[in-house]
Amino acid sequence: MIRWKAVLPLVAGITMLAPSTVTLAASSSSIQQAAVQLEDALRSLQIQHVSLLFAYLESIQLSSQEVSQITQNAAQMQKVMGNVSNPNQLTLAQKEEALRLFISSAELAHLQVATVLTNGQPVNLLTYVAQPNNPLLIELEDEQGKLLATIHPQYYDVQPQHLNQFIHNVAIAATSARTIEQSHTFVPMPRGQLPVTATNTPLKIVIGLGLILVGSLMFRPLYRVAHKLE
Amino acid sequence: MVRWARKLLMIGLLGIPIVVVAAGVGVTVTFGWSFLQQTVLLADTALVPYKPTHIGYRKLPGYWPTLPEPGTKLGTILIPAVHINAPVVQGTTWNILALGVGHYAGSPLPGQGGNVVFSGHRDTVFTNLQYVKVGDSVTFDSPYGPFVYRVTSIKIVPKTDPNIVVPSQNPELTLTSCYPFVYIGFAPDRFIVRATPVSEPSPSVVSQYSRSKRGKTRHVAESG
Repeated sequence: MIRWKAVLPLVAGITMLAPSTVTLAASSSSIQQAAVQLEDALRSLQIQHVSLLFAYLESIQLSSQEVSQITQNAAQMQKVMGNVSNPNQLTLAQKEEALRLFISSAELAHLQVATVLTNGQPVNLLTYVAQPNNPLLIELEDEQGKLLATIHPQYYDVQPQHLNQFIHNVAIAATSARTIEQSHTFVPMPRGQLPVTATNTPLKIVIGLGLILVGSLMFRPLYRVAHKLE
Repeated sequence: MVRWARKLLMIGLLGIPIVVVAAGVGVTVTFGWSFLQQTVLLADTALVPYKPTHIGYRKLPGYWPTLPEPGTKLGTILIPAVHINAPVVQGTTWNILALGVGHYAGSPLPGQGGNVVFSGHRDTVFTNLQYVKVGDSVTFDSPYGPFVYRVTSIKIVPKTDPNIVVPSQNPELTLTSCYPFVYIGFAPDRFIVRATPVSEPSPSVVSQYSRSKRGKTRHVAESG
């Protein structure tokens, strides 16, 4: 069973990030608003740490042809899905087409996609069978193969209202990205989150030393018991 | 008790402490090596330096004309008063923070204006951050030259505080780490150090470095 639940929103999400061909006046307030909208669009993909992807997407240069193609892909994806409420009802041909659109949109957005299991094993989406305790991860990488973000598809749900929301966000986010690009400066994320900055490595070292101590202390009495048994 | 059963029991009794000690050695060596890599051996870690000429990114004026790749070395942070000297890399994800102090990618870089955010692990690169005092000097040694800041405030906030990693009109540097510095598990708070700029490299260095593909002109500019 293929995780089409993951594929569809991602195509929509990638499309959301594409700059619109609509020209807007880039005032300071509109830039700030655009940054908020872009951040919201990324968070809607359920990515925990969006800062690298945010910075990347506002920094890459997309051509108008790429933008146009991404938009067409999203429209095509809607046609492929039709009125299907459950993606597993799709035929194999429909699934292959959806996957092609997904990969194509990612490449047009200058992103590489790696689908892996939580143990790091690569996954072919066409042959993937969902495993409850080993969910699929979609890793988004830049053109150099550096990891930007990881999407956890199990969060997604392809209900009609969800899809409609994604499609609705396409126009909003596309306008946002276009506005940010017009600013000619780096536009920071409006609501960044404090990173997790603890390794707990010293604690683990202490635990290891504790095990050595406990094992050493256990040895003598257990040796005596064993000796008596002899 | 039959002889073989007694022997088996003996092996079992002696095996327990041996297994516990072996597990302890394994855990200690694994995490000890990781800890050494993130502290004592950090300066020896091979990092890819920032190069401003990356095809595909839009060009920005001034320092850092193109976006650094995740994990790229941006420079070195120095806080002499508390003996902090660590590389600064692009990004603040778990893996990247093992390479040094991380620059929060959603914040501007030094010299771009606004609130620059650097984060470091409380138990490796930023352990000594807890001893920083208002007035201490913080230097970010970049490919363009040194950006010097002065600590203006120190505070402790909840980890979900939404008012720390936010844009600001005035240039400033925010250093963050987990708090308490000694804590079992993931700390509930964050230690926040704010600093304001004192000086930054000459604009002439920017143009010279930007023209250089490998960024080697910095030394020429400094010596000149």
